[in-house]
Amino acid sequence: MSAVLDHPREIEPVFDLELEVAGKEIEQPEDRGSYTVHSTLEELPGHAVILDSRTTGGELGKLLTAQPDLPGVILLEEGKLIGVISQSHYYKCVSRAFGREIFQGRSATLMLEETKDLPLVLSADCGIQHAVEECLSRPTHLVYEPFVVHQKKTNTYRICSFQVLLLASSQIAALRNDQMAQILNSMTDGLLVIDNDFRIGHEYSQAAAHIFERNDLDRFSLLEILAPLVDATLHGQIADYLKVLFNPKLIDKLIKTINPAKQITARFILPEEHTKYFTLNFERVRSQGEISQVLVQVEDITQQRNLAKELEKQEAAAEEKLQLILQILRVDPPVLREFIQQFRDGLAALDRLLQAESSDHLHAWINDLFRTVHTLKGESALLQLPLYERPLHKLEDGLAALRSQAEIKVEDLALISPAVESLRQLDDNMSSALAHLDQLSPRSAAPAGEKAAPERHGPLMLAIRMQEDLSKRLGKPVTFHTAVRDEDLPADYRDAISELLLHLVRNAMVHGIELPAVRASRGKNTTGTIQFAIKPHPNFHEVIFQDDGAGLNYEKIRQRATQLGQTLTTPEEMHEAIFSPGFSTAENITELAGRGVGLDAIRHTILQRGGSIHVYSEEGAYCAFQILLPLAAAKAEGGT
Amino acid sequence: MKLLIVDDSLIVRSVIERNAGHVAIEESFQADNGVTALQLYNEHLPELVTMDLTMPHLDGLACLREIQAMGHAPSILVISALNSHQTAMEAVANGACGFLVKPFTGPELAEAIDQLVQHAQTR
Repeated sequence: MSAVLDHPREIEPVFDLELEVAGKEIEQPEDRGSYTVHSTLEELPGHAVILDSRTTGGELGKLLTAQPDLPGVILLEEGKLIGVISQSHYYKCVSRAFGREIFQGRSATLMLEETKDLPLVLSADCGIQHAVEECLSRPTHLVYEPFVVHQKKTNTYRICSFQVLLLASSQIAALRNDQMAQILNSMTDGLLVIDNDFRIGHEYSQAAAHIFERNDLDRFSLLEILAPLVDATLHGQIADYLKVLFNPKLIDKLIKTINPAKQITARFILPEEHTKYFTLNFERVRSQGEISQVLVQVEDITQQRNLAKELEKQEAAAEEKLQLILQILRVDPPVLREFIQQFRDGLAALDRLLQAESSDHLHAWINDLFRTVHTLKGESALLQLPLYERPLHKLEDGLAALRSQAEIKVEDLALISPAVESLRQLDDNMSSALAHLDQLSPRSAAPAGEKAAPERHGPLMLAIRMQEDLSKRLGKPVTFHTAVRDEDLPADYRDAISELLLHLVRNAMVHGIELPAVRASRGKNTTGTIQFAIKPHPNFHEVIFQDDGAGLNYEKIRQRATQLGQTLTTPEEMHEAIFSPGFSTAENITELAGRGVGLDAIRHTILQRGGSIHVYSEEGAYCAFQILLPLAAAKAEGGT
Repeated sequence: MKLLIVDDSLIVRSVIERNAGHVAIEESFQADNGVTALQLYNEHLPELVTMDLTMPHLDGLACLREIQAMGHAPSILVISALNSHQTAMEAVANGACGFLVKPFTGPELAEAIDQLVQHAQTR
């Protein structure tokens, strides 16, 4: 007959003490991992050792001695639990004087009368952690006593040892710690906790360590960690704010607005200098009216920031390209080509300057480049290329600042380096814009000889616009007389004439045409005139350009020549001289003229192609240029 | 509970009043400068105050100082175009318990007022 029953309803008196312990044998708690944080007492090993009131003390003693691991037995009376006799209670009873004799033959229930304490009975669905709390809240002398688990579904009882419960609980705690560590290691958020001394708690996420680039965060306060990374002002502000965070009188949500650490620029020095951007978000943890700790969420926003910046840069470049295309479409191709060439020459000169190794001659050099940049700026304004004008203007300012220094050191050149860089970027964008245009251009695709549509932005239109612009800027009203239309320009001289025309207009406007007051004093009409004509001849084109301005000032030309170490006597020599490189008599070198380069190049082209260029002038009255250009056939016959 | 709204802008004051529809608020008063604010405060001893910082005649910080000196410690929400860290810290030191930075939206304001009421109720 079994002494131990699984089911209270089947309880039978137990007299035979060769007992088997039915139900679960004493199970050593299984390997770690068998419990989860949701485990209940149902999973806790226990013993369904149940006796009824007829069991004698002697029989109980034999049982307990045979099974020293048995925490105790459950006593039922008519299916109802009447008590628990634990190992310790049994020994307490029998170790009294005559204890063994008293209890030996009598019902074990007698032992229950020795104590007024009721056994702790917990439901099987009670969580392990909660069970520990229940056990621990028993009177001190009962804390280590076993307890009973009641399975309501089957109305069965088991007796469980407190030690086994504690083991289970510690496993669960370890599991929780593991989980927490796993969470902290795998979470992408930087998370740490600070106490009211701002010291960082032991548990922090791996991402936080990663962001701050150190694995010893818990040895420091947050302020100590931030000190080498952020500037002193911000550090002071964060320190103030941390104090505010631990002020319990303030409203959690309504102090976030004054968080100074929403975007921090942090400079790291090791292993090499680099900058990170991150934000710190704070959540206050309240406990008994005080702020016990503050959760700090650290987020590295460097990538987002850089991405946003890169995107901005790309958008700006795309926009610039588009603007460039729109702007250059208005400019006549040869003029644009010349401008771009000059711009690139200037850029190359600037690059050479930036690579200067000694400060010798820097002053003269910069003076030179200032003039170049100034001219380029003027031309870009004239050609309505604001994308060039703006950065050139910036660079001009930089060069002007350098120029005004008494002494220029090589290091000072760093001042203009960003401006030069932006010009370089612009030139890159221009190259790619031109490449796009080349692909699209119907001009390059159209079969040769096809009649081109009337041009809205041809060389003549451009020359006239330039004249109008200069008129306004210089305050010199001028009438431009011409019957020539863009389509009349001889195709094989189109570029040369176009460039020549721009030069001549610029010269005429700056040097030739006088201010209205001067003209009036000379008895001339206050409005000047410029004439431009192309006359066809059997073997050549004759191009005539004339202004009714001051004419060539032979005296000034002579003086200038003397400065340059030349002696000029005849008008022919002087006409020759004005085409030579570096020759300019403009009193003020303005952005509009006085460059002294370019005209010689055009002349060179004309001469090379068998043409000639002649100047006629009367001081105070006019200046005229006559250019003779051989027709293609004539040139071939001439066989230069 | 009583609410005192201090702001030199009539528009801001009426927006605040409109959004301060919390059931717990039974009565509200408006002041367009610090001096009037102190008079109204003395008279009604409101539990809730919204305070602008830049105002004519006695600015917000001075006003906060005076209110704090009276010792009733109301729940004070600073509603201001806050641009200096120093000012915020001084406001905290003088009894402000939260900040709403101008410009704000209606829902933000309503949420802030709710928080302020809760704060006053739980102290």
